[in-house]
Order: sequence, then structure tokens, then C-alpha cells
Amino acid sequence: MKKLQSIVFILTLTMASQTLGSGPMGFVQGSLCSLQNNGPAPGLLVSLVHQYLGRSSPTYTDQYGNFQLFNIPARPEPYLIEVYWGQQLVYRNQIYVHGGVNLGRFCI
Amino acid sequence: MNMFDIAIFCAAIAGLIMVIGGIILIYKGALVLASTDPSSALTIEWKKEFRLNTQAPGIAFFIIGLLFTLTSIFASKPTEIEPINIIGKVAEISEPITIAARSSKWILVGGSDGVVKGKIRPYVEAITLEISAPGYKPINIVHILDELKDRTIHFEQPIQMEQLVTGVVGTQIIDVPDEGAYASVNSPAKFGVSQ
Repeated sequence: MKKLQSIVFILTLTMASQTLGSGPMGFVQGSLCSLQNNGPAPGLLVSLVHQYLGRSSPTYTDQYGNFQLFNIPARPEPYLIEVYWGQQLVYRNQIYVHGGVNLGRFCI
Repeated sequence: MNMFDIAIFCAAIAGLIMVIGGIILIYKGALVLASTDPSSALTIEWKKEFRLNTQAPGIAFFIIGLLFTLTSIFASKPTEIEPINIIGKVAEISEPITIAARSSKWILVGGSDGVVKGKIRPYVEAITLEISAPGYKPINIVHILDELKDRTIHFEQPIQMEQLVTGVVGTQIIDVPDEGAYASVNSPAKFGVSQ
């Protein structure tokens, strides 16, 4: 009987940990422009990187320089937002994601 | 979890219950794994390729249970997605090119008074390729999958992309104390969905 109770306890604990693992999610969006002509900067790779979570899916700026990343776990530690021109890192800043984050327009 | 997944799950559970139940029945003495006369032995035969002969018919419980489990494992094996080949050329460009592919939109029409209720049936009918390169205006090309020959997309002519920016004026990179603790740009994605 004690063994059965232990199995039920372990199963309950596993299910509870899975439920707690899916915490609140946020998004990050913004618009990149060029200091060359103050126009949009298209085709640049934007991604987030977190010390413990690793790297996010990459996204690319569209013809207006806009980018969006969804399903970003809300964490107390900061993320780094990085922008790459091809493989060259051209921008890196620190952001906190507790919900939706709109970085607005920023030029590089 | 759809109905098929539920059926597979139930089959796997049924298989396990049969095996565990068989063991319990043997333990309680309701089922006896004892030899019978060779003349009354249980024989399972399939197309002369498979033949099982046992003098302990109780073992059939285990075999049936195992078949349920194996069938559910076989049925739940994910089908391999056939790749789509992309062949072509982008004219006069030295920057690295990236192609992002996405499927069509599935629109749900339904609901009133703010209540959303309905079904979408995701079926990849067309694929949109977004060709982008740093500083260039991205180009979208749509292809209908059923019209592809050998599941290959050929760009009939070199694609011309319009350059909007030639480079960045200066980098703005903050220092991080332990840069090695962060995954590199080429490491696999662990979270997030891009649009």
C-alpha cells in the first residue's frame, strides 16, 4: 500500500512540475532603422539570449524594419537583445521581459 | 491530444493492464503457467512466417498485451516530412541570403458578440518564401505545393533585390560580464516564436 502511495505521489509531483513549468509568456517587438538615411533597416537578424534559457528563435526585420518575437518566457533575469548584420553583431542591449515589450524605433 | 492520440494512449494502457493483470492473476493463482499435453498446446501461426507453440496457454495474455503495446508504439511513430528543395539565384548581392518559409493563413470566420468559436483545418496548400539579406528589401514568393515538380522550387530568373541600406554606421554593443555564459548566435533555438 505504501508503494502505491509513493507512486501516486511521484505522479502527482511530476504533473505539478509540468504545470508550473509553463509560466507567463511575453513578446518583444520593435523597429530598426539605419543611421545612414534614417530609413528602415531590413533583413537584419534579431534574437534574444538568456543566461539560463539559451537563445530564442531568430527573426528578421521586414521591409519596414519591424520585428516581433512571441512566446518569450517572463523571467526575473534580463535578456540580451542582439542584432546581427549577417554574422556580425552590430547591436546588443539588455531588456527585461515581464509581459509585452515594445522597444519602439531605434537606429543603428 | 486528438482522438487518434487518445486511441494510441488507450491501446498502450490496455496492453500494460493486460500484462500487469496477467502477472497479478498468476500471483493469485487464478492463472497457472503450467504445461499441458503437447496435443492441446496453443499454436499461433501467421502465413508460415511466424509460428508460436506453447504448452502454457496463459502466456497468451502476455502476447496479446504486448501486441497492444507494440501496435500503439508503431502507430504513434511520427511520419517523416518530405523536404522541399529550393534552387535559384539572387542577382548582384554579396550579403548572406536568408530564406524564411511560411504556410498560408487559415482564417476562422465565426463567432459573434465577442465569442470566438469555430475550427481551423491546418493544411499546407501554399508556401511563401521570404528572401531577405541585410540591408535589402525582402521579397516574397508564393508557390502552390501541388504544382511543384519533384517538390523543388526553381527560381526561373535571378531574383533582383533592392538595396535600402549599405551597412551600419557604428555598433552599439553593451559589455556583459560573462559572455561565455550566453549561447552563440548559431546555437539552436530554445524558446520563442518568430513572425
